[in-house]
Amino acid sequence: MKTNEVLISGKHLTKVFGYGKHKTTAVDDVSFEFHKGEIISIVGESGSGKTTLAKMIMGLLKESSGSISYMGKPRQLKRHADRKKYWKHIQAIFQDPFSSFNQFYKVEKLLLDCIRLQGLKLSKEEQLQKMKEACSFVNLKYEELHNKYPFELSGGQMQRLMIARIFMLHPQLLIADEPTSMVDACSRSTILDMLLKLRDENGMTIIFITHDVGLAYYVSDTLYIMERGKVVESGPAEDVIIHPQHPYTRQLISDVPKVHEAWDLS
Amino acid sequence: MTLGKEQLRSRVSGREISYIPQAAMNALNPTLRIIRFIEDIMKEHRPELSRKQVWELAVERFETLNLSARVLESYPNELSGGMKQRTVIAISTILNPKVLIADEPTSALDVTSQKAVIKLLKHLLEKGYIQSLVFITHELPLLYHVTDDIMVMYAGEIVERGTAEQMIFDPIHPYTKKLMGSIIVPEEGMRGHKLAAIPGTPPNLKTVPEGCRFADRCTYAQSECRQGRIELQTFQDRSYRCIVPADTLREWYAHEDE
Repeated sequence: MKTNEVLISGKHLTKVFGYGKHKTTAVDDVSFEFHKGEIISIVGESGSGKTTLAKMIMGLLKESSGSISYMGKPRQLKRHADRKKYWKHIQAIFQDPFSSFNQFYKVEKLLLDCIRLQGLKLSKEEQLQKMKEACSFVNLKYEELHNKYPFELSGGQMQRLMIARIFMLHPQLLIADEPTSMVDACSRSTILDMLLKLRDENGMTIIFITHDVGLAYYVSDTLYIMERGKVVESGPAEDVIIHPQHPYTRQLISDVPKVHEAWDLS
Repeated sequence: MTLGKEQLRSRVSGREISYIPQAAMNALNPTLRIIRFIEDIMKEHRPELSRKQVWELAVERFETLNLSARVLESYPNELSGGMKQRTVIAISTILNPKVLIADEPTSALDVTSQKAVIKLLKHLLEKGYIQSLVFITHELPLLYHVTDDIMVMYAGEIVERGTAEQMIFDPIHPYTKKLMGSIIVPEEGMRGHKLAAIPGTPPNLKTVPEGCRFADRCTYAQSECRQGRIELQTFQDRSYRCIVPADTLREWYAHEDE
């Protein structure tokens, strides 16, 4: 489903936290090009700067140097209206579903906000119709949920509700930060199936941020391997996993427990 | 053997059975230095030791786990995720318990730290600090390399038990079969492979359905599955909770794979 049209690209992105002696460069001179309908995985260990990079793409953190352009134009996020427009195109799913929701809003309000963000003028029935449709896409029952608060839901339900939001908003770019690290293996397949279905229907670009090399290999077209803020290897998933070039990539792959090969614990 | 609550706490917990809690990141009280946790344990279980002796014991144990003595003087927020995990393991095993229960000790860690933690647990077993290990997890490829036996639970019941080898490559119960089908590993040929997803959600345990608890999500469910109580059956050296004979199930799976 990958096309040749570039959706978002970054040039020499750098993010520095702190100053003086305590200066840490979280993201160091990273350049990338993500295409429409492509699935990209950014893989790296804890503290390798992958979440920082994702936050810069989302516009939650300001880059120290470098530039990001979206749909061929430099990204503008100065005014609130600009940001709101940008976030119509870019949405995220976070690792911890328990802290992703505003705990004072009921599920109904949460879904209505999605319609408002899109700026749609719909009648009550149409709104209801849309929310029901989104819930059934992720196997949730709107009738049971709409009057509940997020803390009344289970972790799996929250994560699926998050996907229901994505279904309503149809963003161009979805950033999934460790979306499956808190769920068991079978729910993981369900969540991945839903996300891949969304990509196939809408031509959405998905960026997976993960340390699960197996997952990254399974879902993505392109892989970026990050180590201490730098991208050390990138390319089509098949090439990177089966024929890794960089020593760090090799080490990362050998650290994953596999089923058909011995796991070197020495 | 019946024990009172107080006896259980002072004689069994910590000495005989110890526990590594889930989410070690949040398991340590943020207002205490690490050494205080150990002093607290020792005050209860080895009151004869002086503070200095406790300190020496702790330093020695921490060093075998590649943690410096400086860690003992630190507060939990000064440590990284992997260090906290190792610290929790060190505190849990300081009394050399016979049984160690590890509840998802690696779920929140990246693959490199995960490997280090597994190495550490194996090392503790080899050195004889712990004698047996109960590993609770949802990461199946990991289990295959760590454990001898695997027990699969579904909706509050044990549905299958066998050796790691048997469970991964030759599952009998339909739920285990689906679970093993959802393993993702970075190995050649993985991308073409279709992942098994189980439709629906687990039953609400407040109102458990009659018969097999997995029946609603099972592709092979028959009307007999929804009646009475399904008992655990023994087949050769394994046990599983299904009314269909193991050989019939295997035949069905063989057809499914075609």
